[in-house]
Amino acid sequence: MTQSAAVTLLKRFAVVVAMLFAFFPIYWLIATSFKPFDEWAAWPPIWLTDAPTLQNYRIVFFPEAAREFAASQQGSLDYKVSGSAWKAFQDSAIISTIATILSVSFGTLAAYSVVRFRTGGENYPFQFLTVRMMPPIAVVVPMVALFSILKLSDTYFGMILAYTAFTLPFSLWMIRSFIEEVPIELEGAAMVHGMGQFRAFLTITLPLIRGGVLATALFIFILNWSEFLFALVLTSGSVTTVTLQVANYVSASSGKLYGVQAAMGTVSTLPVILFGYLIQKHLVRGLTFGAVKR
Amino acid sequence: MKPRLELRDLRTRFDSFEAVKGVNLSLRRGEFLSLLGPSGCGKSTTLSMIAGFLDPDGGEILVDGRVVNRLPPQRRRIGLVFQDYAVFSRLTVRENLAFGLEAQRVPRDERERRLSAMIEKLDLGPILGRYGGSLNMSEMQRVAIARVLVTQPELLLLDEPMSNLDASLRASLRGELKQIQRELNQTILYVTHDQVEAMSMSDRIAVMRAGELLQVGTPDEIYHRPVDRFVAEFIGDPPINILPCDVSVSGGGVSVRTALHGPIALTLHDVPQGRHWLGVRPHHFRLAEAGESGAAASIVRFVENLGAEHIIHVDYGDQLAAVATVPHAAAIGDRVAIAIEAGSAHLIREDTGRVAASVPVEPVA
Amino acid sequence: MSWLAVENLSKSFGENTLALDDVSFALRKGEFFGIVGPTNAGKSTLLKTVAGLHRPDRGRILVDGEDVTALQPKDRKLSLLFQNIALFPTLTGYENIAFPLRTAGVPAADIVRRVTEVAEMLKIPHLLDRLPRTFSGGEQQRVAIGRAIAHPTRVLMLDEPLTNLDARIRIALRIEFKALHRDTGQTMLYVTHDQVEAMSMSDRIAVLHQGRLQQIGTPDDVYRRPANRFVAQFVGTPPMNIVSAELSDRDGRPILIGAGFEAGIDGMESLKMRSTLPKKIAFGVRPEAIAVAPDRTDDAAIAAEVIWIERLGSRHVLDIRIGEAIVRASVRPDHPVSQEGPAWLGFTPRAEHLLDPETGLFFR
Repeated sequence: MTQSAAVTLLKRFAVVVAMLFAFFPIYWLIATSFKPFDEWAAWPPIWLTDAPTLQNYRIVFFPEAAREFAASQQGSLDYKVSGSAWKAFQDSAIISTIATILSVSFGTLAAYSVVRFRTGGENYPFQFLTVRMMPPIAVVVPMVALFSILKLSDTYFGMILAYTAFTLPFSLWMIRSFIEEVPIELEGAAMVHGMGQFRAFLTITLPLIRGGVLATALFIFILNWSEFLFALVLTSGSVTTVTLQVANYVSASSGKLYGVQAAMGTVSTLPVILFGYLIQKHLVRGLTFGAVKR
Repeated sequence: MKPRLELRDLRTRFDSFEAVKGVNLSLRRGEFLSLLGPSGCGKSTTLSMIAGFLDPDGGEILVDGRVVNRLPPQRRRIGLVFQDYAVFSRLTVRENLAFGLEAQRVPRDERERRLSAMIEKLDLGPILGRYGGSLNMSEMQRVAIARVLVTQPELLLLDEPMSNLDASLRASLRGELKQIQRELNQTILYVTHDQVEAMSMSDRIAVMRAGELLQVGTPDEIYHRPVDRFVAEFIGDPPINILPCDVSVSGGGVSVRTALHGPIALTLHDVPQGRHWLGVRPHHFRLAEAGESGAAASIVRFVENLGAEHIIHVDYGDQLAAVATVPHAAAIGDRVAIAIEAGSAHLIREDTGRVAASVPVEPVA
Repeated sequence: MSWLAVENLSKSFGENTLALDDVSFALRKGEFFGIVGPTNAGKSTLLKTVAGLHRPDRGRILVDGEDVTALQPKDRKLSLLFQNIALFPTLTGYENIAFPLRTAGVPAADIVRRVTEVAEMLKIPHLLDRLPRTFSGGEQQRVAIGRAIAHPTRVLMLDEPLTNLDARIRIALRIEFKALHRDTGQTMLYVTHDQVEAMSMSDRIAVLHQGRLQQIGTPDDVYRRPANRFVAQFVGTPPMNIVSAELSDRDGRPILIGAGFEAGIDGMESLKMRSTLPKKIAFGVRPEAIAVAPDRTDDAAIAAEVIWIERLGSRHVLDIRIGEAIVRASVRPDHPVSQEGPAWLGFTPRAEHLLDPETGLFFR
């Protein structure tokens, strides 16, 4: 008994260490976003600033604050920085949301087909996933060429298409495992009792995997929201995303504007947290309990 | 002679849950004893303590009179056969058999000597070169037992070895296991939740519930003289009928009346007046002539066809009672008269669940 | 004319797994028909194929003369109670039972009336407003039965509806199924691995093993006149003894001679092809048909040895060695032979229990 208590203590200690490790970057992000200019990269590091400021956030959202800052630093900010971050948030929201909806919708239908009809054979879902094993940088160059020929560069449609294509394997792979958990007899029962197969899927299976689909959507949304490489090479100014905007906070005289980047980073996590919070009550497992005898 | 295995007041708890509450039990040399109970009764926990996988919180485990509580599993001279036998499918039968000996670093010539003795005893010669994965269940059982027995344990523990198998296969494996046990005069403690397994193989059965031993006895004792309601209901197929009854004190004893039968006079004094239960096994009911004294009329609701016999289910108060009969003695909807065979009912106290009296139960003429 | 006819049905999954192999049988209208076999015999596959959830490789399914093989499940007007129950977890008890009525477009008022009626019959009105996850095992079963019978169906198919239930609930539900069958004349196809259940409930039973039909007949027929070794040993506990012997004649009467015993044959005149029977033969004898005695008698004149007694409480099963063979006899617990050791046996196999030791088929 004493031995197992020691083991329990050790386990809890390990969990605490792991949590510290995981949460440190988030702490640093938020802490930095409130630091004044001279503390951004100070050495020794300043853990919590004595002079918290909202200046970094003002620079993100108000162009005049950015210009003021630029003037005070005797340097010039990049032209994009002098614009506001509002557009970046708007563009990212449009692209990420639509691409997520498309990816999850197509992923659900494809997963259903793969699970119930063995479409493409046993290895098909895995082959599909191997698309993602190729580093994105490897396909970026041909994509740039392709997008410019198809006139998709620097358009919402192009970005949505690229994001949908690249997250679809994840959607398929994840949702497939949720559908596999639903006993086939549930649809069978609906069909024997007078429903066609697609209607049986919509009315019986889909509500059961709703939690899984939403979890997948959250995951895909995070992928889309934080994507950088495609955004960098497939846009040239008329469409911009949050990640691009963060990278743009660079000043010729002072190098990277860490505080401003941290402020933007902090703000950009909010939509993800909000989305996660909204769907949290749907992420309940074990909905099929009571449906079948195990 | 010292018992091969003795448990003295063995107990353990998981946090606040008392899993085993002071078990006392001893096995004679060469005895086949089954530890029988429903899942969660503590039988597997008891086995784990005997095998040495779990430290008891109190009590002693003795093998041949020697306390082994402090010894690690491999030094207790106890062999364990796992559920589903766990024969290594990628090793040959010979490699499977040698496995335990190699693990114990038994010298080569000693190993060979023991192996060939065991191969002969259990007739494993013809399958020595086959892989574990290609064996049928009967061969697998023999290999699993032989693999443990070559390490020369004083006591063999089996933990529900047949629980995942088909009924017909289980029946034949039971016979073979019993045969091996008798030929080698091997002491066996067999853990199971299946009363047929326990009844058919054991010299004695220990019935366990909620961490306590309720009754230890031969299969016949357990079946014919259960000490409480749980044992009575757990043993026997089809299960015993538990019929509510009224007990009233009359003259020199008490008088029992059920929904259909009674008064039945008993010379008993320590049962309080009021509602109790009468336990009657289906085979201790019989069809009687209408109007026979002690018989009661009822209606057949269902007939179970076992081939060699039929179990009829008749209305009995607001429940059903099962009655064993010869085939085609009655059909659904028939009116029948049923009587209780003399000396075979159990009066069970409502407050304690203990059997107050099994015999004699004589109907009043 | 048959009401449901299954003709030469075959179904395989993948290359090597033949789940159904040329299965044919026919149900009369209003019949209670049992299909019994061990695990993996193909029973569930058979029901799902009849229901239209599997497409057969070969064969036809006819209901009331209409070929439904190519129809969608929803168009077959058959009902199936799944082995794993398959209640819709997001729907209440009421909506589960109403489901087949809704898909059939039954008017709302009629749905309410019918669901209420079914719920009362199955004693589950208290479950109508609740979700399946709050039901006990027996309650799940009842609601699923309610859903299966709510809408009139041509054949009600039940796949192991009573497994894993407590013995008392099982008896209660068996009685309900029989009552349902009797009161409504519903044609029923009942699948179980439990031979006692099949024997107890069915007008006729079909024994299925490894995807092949072994025998179709009334329960008594299958018990008394099994078609082959598998059926003989699957139906009845303990299973029928099968012993090899030589067929010979003595004083013009056929006798069986085995290692250490001789036995006459009962009802030989009923067997038409006496002259065609081989010399090397086997016979079956039920454990309860073997006479055992502590001393030699006219009925028990074969010297034998009881090697083990299974004391099962209500009966004792004796393993008895005669010559090379071991037979099992079933006796009452108060039988005079109550210890292992020498004993005397007697049996007279019936003519219909002679079988070919090679093919395992009984002679007819």
